[in-house]
Amino acid sequence: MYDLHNFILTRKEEQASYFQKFGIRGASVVFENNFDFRKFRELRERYKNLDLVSAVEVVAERKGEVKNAVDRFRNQVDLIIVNAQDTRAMRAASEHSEVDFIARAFVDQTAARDCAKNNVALEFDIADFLGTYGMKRATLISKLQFNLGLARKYKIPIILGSGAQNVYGLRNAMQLIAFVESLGFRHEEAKAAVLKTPFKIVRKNRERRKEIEVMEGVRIVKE
Amino acid sequence: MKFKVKASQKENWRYIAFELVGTGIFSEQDIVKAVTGANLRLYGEVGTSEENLWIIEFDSEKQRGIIRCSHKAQQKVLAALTAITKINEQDVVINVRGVSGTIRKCKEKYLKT
Repeated sequence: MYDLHNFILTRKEEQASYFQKFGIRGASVVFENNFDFRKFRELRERYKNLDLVSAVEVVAERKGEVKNAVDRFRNQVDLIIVNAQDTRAMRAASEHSEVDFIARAFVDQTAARDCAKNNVALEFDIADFLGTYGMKRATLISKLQFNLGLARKYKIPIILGSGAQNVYGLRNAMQLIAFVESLGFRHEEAKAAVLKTPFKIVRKNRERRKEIEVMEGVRIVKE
Repeated sequence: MKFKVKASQKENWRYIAFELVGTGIFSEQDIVKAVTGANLRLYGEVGTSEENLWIIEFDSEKQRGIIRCSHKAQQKVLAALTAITKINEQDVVINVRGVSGTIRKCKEKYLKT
């Protein structure tokens, strides 16, 4: 299992040993709005049993910030994640095929259509659901179900991340699948969101960086 | 006359082996409260009644245990265990190690190491 959206390695590095306990084979090292290659390389050398994925989370408040970040980081990191604070920024993220996924994605109809067109995945953090209770959690679940409907309609890939700030936010794959099933996912959708889609995205980006995949849909099979 | 239950009418159980990840030390009572509370909050009283929950055992030294539930409600119980974030105001994660159909296998496979 790959956990593509957690902050443990950048904020609570001493808890990184817990990844194996939860059956997490690959984890992202998420840098917010910048990328520190030296730190990433150190982490990669220190945790050789983990498949570490470099990621930049762009916390975008304006439309232009998404484009700037994509231009700046695309060739440096494996993943570009957009955490849109504004509707326009979210639309901009959905229009960029270079963006891998929109974190904490509660998108509208137009953005969903663009996401499908540009192969931008939607990501939901389990931490959001675990950290809230009562009416707030109910509202979140209803938003999730609306987005799930859009994802089914437009066939948008969905990712489930832990969104963990520390070890208490981590869960194993079996529990994640069961939890999102109770929120409205079908079993196959949940399995794909937890196990398949994150791995596919990482593999695709690595191939792109190694220039095996030249552009969307074009791969070098033999030289 | 002795009342017989057909094999097809017998309840099928699932045994969930779990461990607590966290710094706190908890008793069986704390676990019962947390698990039932999480189920009641997520599914309400009717939903919880369908699960037939029972804590079979809890080792307070190793902070591991086994929960029994109806096989139809397995996913629901797993989801409720996932939703537990605190016990007695202390941060904790209930990490499910595995699910089995018999207590013996559950212990052998998931609680030995």
